[in-house]
Amino acid sequence: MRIRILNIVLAELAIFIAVGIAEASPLSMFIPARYLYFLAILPPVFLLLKRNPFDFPLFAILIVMASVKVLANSEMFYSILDTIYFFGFRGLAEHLNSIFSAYRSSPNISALSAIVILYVIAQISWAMEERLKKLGLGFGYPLVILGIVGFAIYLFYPLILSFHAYGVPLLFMGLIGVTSILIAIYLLAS
Amino acid sequence: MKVRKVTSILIKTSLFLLGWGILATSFELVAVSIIPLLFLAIPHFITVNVERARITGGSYIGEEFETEIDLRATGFGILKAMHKLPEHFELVEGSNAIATFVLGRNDVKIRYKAKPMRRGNYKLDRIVLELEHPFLAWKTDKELRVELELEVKQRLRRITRVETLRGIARSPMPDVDISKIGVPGTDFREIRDYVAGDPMKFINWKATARRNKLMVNQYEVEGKKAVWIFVDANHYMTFGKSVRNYLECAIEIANALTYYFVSRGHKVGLYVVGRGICLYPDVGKRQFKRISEELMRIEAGEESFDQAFEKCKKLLAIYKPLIILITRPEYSKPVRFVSEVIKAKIPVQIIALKGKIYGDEFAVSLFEILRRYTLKSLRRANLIEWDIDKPIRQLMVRVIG
Repeated sequence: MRIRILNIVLAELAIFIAVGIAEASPLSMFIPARYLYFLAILPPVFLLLKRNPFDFPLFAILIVMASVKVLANSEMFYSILDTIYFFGFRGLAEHLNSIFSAYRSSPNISALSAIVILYVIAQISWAMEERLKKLGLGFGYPLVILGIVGFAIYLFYPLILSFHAYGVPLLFMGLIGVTSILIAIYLLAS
Repeated sequence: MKVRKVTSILIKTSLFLLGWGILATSFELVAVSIIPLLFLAIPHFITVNVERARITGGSYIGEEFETEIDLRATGFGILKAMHKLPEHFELVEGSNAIATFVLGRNDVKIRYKAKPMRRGNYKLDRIVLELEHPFLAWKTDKELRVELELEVKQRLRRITRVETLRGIARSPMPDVDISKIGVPGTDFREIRDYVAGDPMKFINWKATARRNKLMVNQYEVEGKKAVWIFVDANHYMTFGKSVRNYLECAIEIANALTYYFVSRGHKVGLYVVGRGICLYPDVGKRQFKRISEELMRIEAGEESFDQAFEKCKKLLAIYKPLIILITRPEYSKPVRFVSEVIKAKIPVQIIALKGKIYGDEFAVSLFEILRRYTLKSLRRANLIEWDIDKPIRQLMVRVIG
């Protein structure tokens, strides 16, 4: 039960962060922020359906909401706008461009990472509940360690990312990314 | 190493963020996609050593034994340790498995009581370890060896009295009979022809001169008559439960009979039909121990009673022992064995084991008819039927006491 309550708290916190980002993003021009707070109903509903309150669909919605601001800096997004423009929807393309151009600033990476960390903690603790109960172990130690690790990543990960700012070659970063994908595919396949 | 549910979730999350980041050409989303993988990168390492391992008790079937195993675990992660027990063991108290969260150094104690339900030599030397990532991302299986062994014997049923059985032999039960071979005593029996190996001092010179060939005096030998127990260990004897079947019952009877006859000074021999194991008749507690140990090791095999007879007929002719067959005659059909033995004027006793037969009524009746027919063909031997589910003590009272 404690884990379920914890997961609801984590989910609500993530919703609060994501809505906060959405309020300051072009999304607020389409959907008023006060309606986005209705997402807070989802975690208890998931729990009633005997699912993890912070389930993947909720996480995906929150990530999409939080990354709308990212689109304002995305080359891909502007190329799509160009395509729309080319096919004759000039009015729509110009309207969207005028909205998104106003939000061209570097997005808040710590808010995004907070949502991801909260989701990961929720998923691990949910899996832990079943397993640790089966083993007859308490949740105390593992949860505390999980919290510490999550907090440490939240604090220090931006520092690791700052290597990028200090000029770590992008090729090297790309190689790491490709290797990670290959490892992930191998692990999932096994 | 197994990929767990948590690992799969974290990788999928990472791939989702990565995919979304690539689509949106966003460095931030790609950077965030590393975060779930960082949780997987938390190392887990546990080393486990056995500090102490001890077993007390459990020498006989059904006797409880206490196990104490102390482990020392060092590292970080979740440890699950299980002392592996053979299938014929029943846990009475405590648990042979323990799980704990290891952070730094932990002393893990496994304490439990169990009882063996089947005879045998058991090696209880395996401790199975499951070392799990603190966030359940990975799991590795390991095995630890400890020096623990348990010898489980049949509990001995003491027999106090043996009745004389009627049979075609002059004295079928050996209690009142004397040995055919052994140390010669002073009681004169007869004069017979000399055979190579007879001591010179036994030559009867007067008789030799009269018959014009070497004649020797034959004296009664000291000691009681031999008993030879034939335990059937063919595969059909293992029908039933693994802890209580025909073979287990036969072993229990053989063990009790061996003790009874050995303690009364008889020579006792054993033949395991099915494995071809033969222990020649001998006296004393050492012989009982040898037979008992052999009985403890018996596993099912394949051999007919005719083959068994061919192997030891010379010895049977020398010893002229009381033969006790413990078998399921409807399967073993020892008809030729019995007739050959009776022809050689060797007394024979058959303990025919029977148990519950499963099947429809017609099949059971048919089986019973066939069984009766086989038993009828063995009527020349002294035959006793016994239900394996009944306590052996009652059988002993009926058969020999």
